[in-house]
Amino acid sequence: MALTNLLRVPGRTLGGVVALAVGVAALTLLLGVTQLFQGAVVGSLLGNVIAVQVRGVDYAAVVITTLLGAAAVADVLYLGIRERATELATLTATGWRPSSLTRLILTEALCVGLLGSALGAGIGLGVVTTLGATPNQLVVPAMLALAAGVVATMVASLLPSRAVRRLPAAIVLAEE
Amino acid sequence: MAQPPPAPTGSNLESLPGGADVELAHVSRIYQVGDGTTLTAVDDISGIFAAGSVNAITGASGSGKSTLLHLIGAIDRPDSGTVVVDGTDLAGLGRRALADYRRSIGFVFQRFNLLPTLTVLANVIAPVIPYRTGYDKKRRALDLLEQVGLGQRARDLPSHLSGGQQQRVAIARALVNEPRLILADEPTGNLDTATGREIVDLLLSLRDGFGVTIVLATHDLLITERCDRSMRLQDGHCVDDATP
Repeated sequence: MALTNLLRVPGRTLGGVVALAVGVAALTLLLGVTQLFQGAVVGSLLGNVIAVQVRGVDYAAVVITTLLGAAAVADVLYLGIRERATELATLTATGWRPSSLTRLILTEALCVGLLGSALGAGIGLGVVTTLGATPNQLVVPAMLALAAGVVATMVASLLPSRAVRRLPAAIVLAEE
Repeated sequence: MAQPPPAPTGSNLESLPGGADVELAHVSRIYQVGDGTTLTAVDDISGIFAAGSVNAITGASGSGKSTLLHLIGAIDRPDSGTVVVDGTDLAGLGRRALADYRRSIGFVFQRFNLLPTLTVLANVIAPVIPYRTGYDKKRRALDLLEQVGLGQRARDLPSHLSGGQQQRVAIARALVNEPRLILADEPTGNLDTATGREIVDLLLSLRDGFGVTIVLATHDLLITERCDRSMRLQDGHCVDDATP
């Protein structure tokens, strides 16, 4: 049911996935460069010589980007809850517990979080390999970035999952 | 009138425990509508819906019919008064117990309220998706769809069905938990007369076949005449309580 809900507005879901992927890709890149090249590397990308040096401010920017991506996913979930209010109220009327509704929303969050984080980690891994690292060396940074993306998404989705618990079923059904 | 539907094979519908007793005592529900203004949707309503009876709640739009159904169905809580079902005061139930209570009743809505992205079969199963049951959910749902004459449409989306067929699916969904009480909010409101009659026949056959208590909100006099009892509401008050 969670997957069906996410596919209902695929463009919006994709937007959440991409927003999260950007942050996670950057995080993977920074972690990779930090671990493998001690924070600074010179290499070539698409025929051009590039130099990458990781500073504290870069980490701050990437963390903010990742958090914004997680917030975008939470927004996707929140909009979905608003649009499906009648359906969620109907499920409440037919006996779904608030915890079941929460689980549904968190499952949706996990799906988007995993997809966006995996995409981002994959992209980040691809960029770092062009700087001379092998994929095997990047497993740990990629997994760390993926985990960070998923955790950030799940934390951000606590707000929409709280909203679904407080859905005023009687009012929603009466307005219907 | 339609014949009682046969009990589905492989399910426990044949052992439905009969209908539930519903007692309302001085039930009121007041909504805040902004600027400190209040709206009394239901005002001091009392009455008993006996087990196995079919009861109509009538009245104009905004008279409090739906609110009363929501109070009986524990979707909403009264500001005063009590709703007692089979001896249990709903006010004493916590959130989890209220959800379990709602699972023991069937709700039918005017606009069917089917989940548009799920198949007909999944819609019937929807109320029990989060729960472990002692039966095969899919088999139960298919049996119920057979009962309401839609066994061949299980894989369709609701949007591919007519209004009457969608309401039949909604009734099958209401039955999936073997309810002792069915609450129907204007179940024929979005249907033409002939289809509406079929839906009422189906609902009444549940009482005749299984002794389920039915409370339905309607302003269709033809439906009211077929009920055991009629409670007429006006501006939240009960102005008439009669046996047609």
